[in-house]
Amino acid sequence: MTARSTVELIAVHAHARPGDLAVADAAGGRLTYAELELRTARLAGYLRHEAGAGPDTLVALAFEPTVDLIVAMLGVDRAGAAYLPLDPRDPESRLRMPVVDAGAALVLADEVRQAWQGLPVVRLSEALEHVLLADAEPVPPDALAYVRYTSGSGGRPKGVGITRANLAAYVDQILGLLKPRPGDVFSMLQPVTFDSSLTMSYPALAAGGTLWVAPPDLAIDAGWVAGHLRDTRADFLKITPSHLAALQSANVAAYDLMPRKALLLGGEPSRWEWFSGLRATRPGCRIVNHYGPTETTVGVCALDGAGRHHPAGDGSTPLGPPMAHATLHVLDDLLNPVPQGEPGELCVGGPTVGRGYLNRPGLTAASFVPDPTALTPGRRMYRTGDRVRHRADGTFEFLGRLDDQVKIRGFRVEPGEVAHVLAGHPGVAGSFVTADTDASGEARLVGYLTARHGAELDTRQVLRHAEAALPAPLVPAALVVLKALPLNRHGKVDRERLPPPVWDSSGQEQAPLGDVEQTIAEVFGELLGLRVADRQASFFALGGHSLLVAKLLSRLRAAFHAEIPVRAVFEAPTVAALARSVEAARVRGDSRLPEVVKVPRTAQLPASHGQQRLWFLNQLDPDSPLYNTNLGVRVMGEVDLEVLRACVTELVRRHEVLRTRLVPSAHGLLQHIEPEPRIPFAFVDLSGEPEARCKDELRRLIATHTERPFDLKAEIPIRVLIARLSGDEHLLLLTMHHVATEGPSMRILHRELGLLYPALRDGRGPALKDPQVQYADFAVWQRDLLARGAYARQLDFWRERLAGMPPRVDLRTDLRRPSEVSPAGSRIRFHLSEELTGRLRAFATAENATLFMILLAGFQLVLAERTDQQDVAVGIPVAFRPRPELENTVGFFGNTLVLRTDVDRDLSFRALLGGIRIATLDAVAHRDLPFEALVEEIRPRRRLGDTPLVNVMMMVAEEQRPTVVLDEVTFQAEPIDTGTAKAELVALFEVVDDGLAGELEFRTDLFTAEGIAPIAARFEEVFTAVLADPDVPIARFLPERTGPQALPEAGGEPVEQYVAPRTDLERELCMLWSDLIGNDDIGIADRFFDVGGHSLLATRVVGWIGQAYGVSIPLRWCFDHPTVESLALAVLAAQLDGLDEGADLLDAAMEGRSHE
Amino acid sequence: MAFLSDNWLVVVNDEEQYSIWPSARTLPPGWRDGGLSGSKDECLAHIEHTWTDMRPASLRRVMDQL
Repeated sequence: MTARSTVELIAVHAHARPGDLAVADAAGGRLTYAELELRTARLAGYLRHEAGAGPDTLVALAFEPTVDLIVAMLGVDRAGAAYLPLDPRDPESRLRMPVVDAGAALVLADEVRQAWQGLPVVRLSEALEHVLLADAEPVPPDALAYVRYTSGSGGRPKGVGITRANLAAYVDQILGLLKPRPGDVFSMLQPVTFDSSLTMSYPALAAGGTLWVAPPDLAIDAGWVAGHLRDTRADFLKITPSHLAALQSANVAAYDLMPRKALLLGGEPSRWEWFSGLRATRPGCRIVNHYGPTETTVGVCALDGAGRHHPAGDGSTPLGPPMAHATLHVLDDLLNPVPQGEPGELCVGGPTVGRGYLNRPGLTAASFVPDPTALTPGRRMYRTGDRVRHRADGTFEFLGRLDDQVKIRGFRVEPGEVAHVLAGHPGVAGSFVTADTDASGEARLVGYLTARHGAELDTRQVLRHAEAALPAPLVPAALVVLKALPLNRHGKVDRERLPPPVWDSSGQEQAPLGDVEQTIAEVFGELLGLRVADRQASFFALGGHSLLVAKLLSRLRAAFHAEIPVRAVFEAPTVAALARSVEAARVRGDSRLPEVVKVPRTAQLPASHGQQRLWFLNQLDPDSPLYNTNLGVRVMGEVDLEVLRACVTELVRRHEVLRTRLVPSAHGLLQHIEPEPRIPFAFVDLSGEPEARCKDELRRLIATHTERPFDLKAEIPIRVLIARLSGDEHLLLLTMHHVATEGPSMRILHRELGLLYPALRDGRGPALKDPQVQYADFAVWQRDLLARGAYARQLDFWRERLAGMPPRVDLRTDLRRPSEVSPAGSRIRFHLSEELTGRLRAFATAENATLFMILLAGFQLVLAERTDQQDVAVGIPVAFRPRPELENTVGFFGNTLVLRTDVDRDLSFRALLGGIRIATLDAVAHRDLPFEALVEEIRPRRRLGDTPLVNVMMMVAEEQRPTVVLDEVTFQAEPIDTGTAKAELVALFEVVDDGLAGELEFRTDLFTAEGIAPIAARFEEVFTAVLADPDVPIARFLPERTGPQALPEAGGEPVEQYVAPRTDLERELCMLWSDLIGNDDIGIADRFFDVGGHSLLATRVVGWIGQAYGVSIPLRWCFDHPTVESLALAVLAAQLDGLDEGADLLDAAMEGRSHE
Repeated sequence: MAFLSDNWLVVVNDEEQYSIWPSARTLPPGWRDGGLSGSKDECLAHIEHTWTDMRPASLRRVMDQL
């Protein structure tokens, strides 16, 4: 039975759901099914009645990808005619050739072009004025549906004719594969000249869904694509592997580039590692590798990525298995089947085998041959020219082409056609075109030319000639002029002896000026694999192409921290012009986020989310020095201590956050900035002591100084120690609570110290401008963004990403886990050699990954020594300033990202790294959401001392803190050790001169040094082993699974039942909790953190109790007394305690009562 | 005709679509001899001249009635 045509199905939808959105475009065009039906009927009426169109009449279509394009395609279809798509972005000659070659009856366009002079051209708007509608009449199934031109080896493109039956059979298969529902959203990002776009267009409308179309310049803008997929809630996306890879490399999270239901890849081969790595990117989204030549209607094979294992072979993603409508054969030259598993030519039979090449009988007969196995006698099969091997699992391994055809970014190219065009230039005598790979591993065309006798060949002119005749993918990336083409014994061009292309400069180049231009020239060079010495060199003339633009933007973004619009690259692609765009973007700042502005200091200043979290931890454990941070500076040379002291005073004045107390209130935590704080200074003189004693004494001093906790409510978060060690050596130690500082802040303070000292010593006064904005301004800005829902999308991402995550990594501990784990910690150091570090960097770079990512991949393998868990989350502290005006602002800009990895033992190390790369980029793209807001959202069950969400962390310091030398005084950073661990197990790496300095920090309640030392030693073994063998399953490097061996924990979780409040206090507390948590059903036995309470709310509970009952209770009580029942008792006890102090009062009260 | 492998046959089906087939092998069902055997190039050159209306015969018949 023949499947119903899309036009018939659209008519059905127009009745059933007339108001549903059928087609939408990026320019704002929107058509409902009723509108689409009306327009296609009008157009069909015009074509049939005015233009006399019918079966096999060809109508050329030249439209930007808009709703009009879809109307035009369907109108032609409904008229019973066939369409011939043209790309309006192609050169004029290319817009004319197919129209003439195919004998099209007319050109339907959105704009009349010079190219069609003398041909009948009609604007769609004119055709739509036609009022006589055309019904969908039966059309012979063998009549043409469309003709698409593809590159031809003889120098002449060939038109592939596809019938209406072919198209209906294909659409039917796609509907079966994707099972779309009415209302599903299909995203068509590919040009309509590429038949791959049909996977989206027809099935969308046949299913009653919504088809989105977008132009190519937006489709290569990763930010736009991510926003488009999000905003349209796209369910299906078809894309080429090189297109998707280019978008992924643009620092947009891989997750954001995925549709909701299925991602279809096709048009060119891909690597299995990459393909299978996509599977984990978005839960619920299928990944399908779709293969098929244009001649057999878009696609005949579909490989669903789910559940497939690493195939043997060359590492490319297999083709197949065949879809139900297609029969696939692997045949030899004489069309005999080859034995199973042997290489041969892939031939395709079935109802989607096309009519042939338009007006090319010989070419058609050679490629469309009798299919001896066809059920219907007389059917033909198509010889694809693809060399394949049939694998035992029913799929096909792609081995290459039997001819010269190459795929450039998914576009079929016959190098012979390009050579033919080059030879058409008057100065060219001979030409040869071949493909090689560019710096990023993508295929590109290289043209070799010989000049006509006596002619001087200017490759730029030849290139312009090619650009005027060929679509962009067919234009060579590089041209090389040779004296003669090297020939082999058979008189054919000897490819082996062709020299690699070198950028040919004209000798008039101007060297790039300044840092920005120099950097841009370097980025060009890296991407294109050549040296760029000319500031007027254009990215495209050097061989850059549209997909590389995505990478270019990403590199520029990373280098300059500026958002450069895609358009800027196309409009002004030279080094010098891009430098101007970069400068403009820098001035503009990050356009996605509003500017941080100074707010008046008169209003209440809220704490930032980061401060909130650290304050909370401080209140939970007021005696812990865990979040004390230290800036130790060894001052060498003769130093004026008064000046040094003045410098520190000036730092505290400059940076408000260093003189800010954090005070809880019923409205949450507030910042109190002290105008003239007393900075705790301590000075000791150890210079007279013998050396050994001096060292001991210094160690003791540092310990007492750094381990004393801060009371953030009462104290400013900094204290200072100056120790004179000898006449020309001092130690300056700034101990600060983390709430006021982090890594980059430390670098700012260290740098400013070096600048302030000489200025103040010479009496020049402060030499520094005040920072543009202060930390309190940032806190207000951040709260405001969150309140306005600016992070909603990031919250969605994290909620989905962390769904079903285990509460923590179950580590086999050395000691029995106590009910409350103290932060006391110790550390084991290890070292990775310079040589190994170099190899790690090189491997990471080759995989498009970073040192951080490969270290995390290694840490995952090391962790496997202590856990059998496959779903492993590691916390990553990051510090970043989201806006340029915060660059010199000191404060806590830290956040913790959760990197969740599927440590599948069947994966290779390369694939594991690929997965981590994607997870990292995803996480970084969603790094703005404050961790605290995430914890509030996820509300993990936790106990006192647990770090929420993650109990394992990793950090990598890629920058060393520089030594500041000024005059004779050197300020050298000094590492300071505190005896704590930030999580149960923390891996720290620091880039040092001779490789990597590593540390495993662990909590001594759980682990012993003897237990941890062998794990630390594993890093070197593991890295050496996996680098030697990155493609075998990682199971080989891991210990045998040992089953659950975690030592049992002390204590258990009681089960709660609803118990109604009995006293007024209990009732009030229950109501307070219900209000705060938004849960009406809270009994006095429910535990605060189990029913939805979180730290921020606990702060407000404490503030409210303080106001309502006049007692100040510690925040810790919310943990110690987790139910309303126990908290009410504690509050009562506190009230009584307070009264106790005035026992007379109580007595008087009791007495008064007894008298009544 | 020195080499069997060079020996192809012009074939044609009921839709009057032309193709080529190794002459040493049995004709597949639904195909008949198109009247020429020779090298692949000879066969294709013959088809280039003979197959002038590339529409399938059944379609041609329907269209002629329109």
